Amino acid sequence: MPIAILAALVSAFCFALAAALQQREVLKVSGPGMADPRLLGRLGRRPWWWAGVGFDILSMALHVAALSFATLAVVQPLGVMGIVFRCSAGRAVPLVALLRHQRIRRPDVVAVAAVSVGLSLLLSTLSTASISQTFSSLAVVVCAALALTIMALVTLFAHFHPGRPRAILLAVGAGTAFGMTAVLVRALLLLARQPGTGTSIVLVASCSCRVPIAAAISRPRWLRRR
Amino acid sequence: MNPVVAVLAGGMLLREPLPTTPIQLVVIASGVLLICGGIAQLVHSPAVLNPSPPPETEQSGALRPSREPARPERLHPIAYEVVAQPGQHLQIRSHRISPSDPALSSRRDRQAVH
Repeated sequence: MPIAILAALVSAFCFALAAALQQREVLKVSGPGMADPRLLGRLGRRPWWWAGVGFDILSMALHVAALSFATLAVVQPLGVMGIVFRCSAGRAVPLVALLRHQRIRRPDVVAVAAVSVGLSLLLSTLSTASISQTFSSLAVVVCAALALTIMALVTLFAHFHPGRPRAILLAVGAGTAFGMTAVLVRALLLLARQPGTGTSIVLVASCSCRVPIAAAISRPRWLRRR
Repeated sequence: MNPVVAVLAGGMLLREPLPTTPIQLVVIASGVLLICGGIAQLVHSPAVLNPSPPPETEQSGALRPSREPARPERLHPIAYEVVAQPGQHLQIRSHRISPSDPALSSRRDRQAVH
């Protein structure tokens, strides 16, 4: 369990760092709009964008490792610490204070303490017992399809509502995708421990790949809109 | 959204145990409120909202955000006068010029001061 918590926390930090690097590069790229594929082409020529991608991959690897040791109820809430690390513009609050030679504001300290206490309450209440049970692969596929549908609808609505509503809608879609990805990865890990589940593994792996791709597509968009 | 979707979907699909007793639900609600409140405070932090480096800091080091929009400042024309007195260094004096200043010799100068 401590390994899972440590891996989840480091994963959250890497994810925050990746988001900070990618947002910085997206803001530097001018010209193409959010739906223009040339945006990804221009980002692909920037080394710091690829550094962000590298931290993303490291974050995902650590996340999978954490999910193999603990339940979703333990690992996923710890991902909230990524927001604390990143905090809006890709700058951790202590990091901002360090870089700008400022003292950390008391409300920020209180906010970080509140998030930490809240997470402790969640971890102490949510079940940490890992129960390996059989489950329907069809239900997993249906759930992944539902998540993709929600993302498609949210993206469609976001297209017609510019500004702050668009940012919120796209962030909701990305959050749904990341949550669903974690469920699929956990399902894959549970299936891998059971003998004779080759077909199911391929099926779930296929879904596991599709949802992150959708999330990756939506991510530069909502980063740019912030 | 991420933890909520993951925990709920994990409970439904993977049959991971979800909290059911009222005490557990109250504790979880309190935790969620604390987390949401903390994040709301963090994202409204002026140190985070301003992506560019701060222009100035106070002695205490805290950043004071300016809530008023910058107003255009009117520059007043200033005349410089060099005063020379025997046995002393040269002095340069300055004073504001008004359109009725007798030092303005021409009409064009007065219009320029306007």
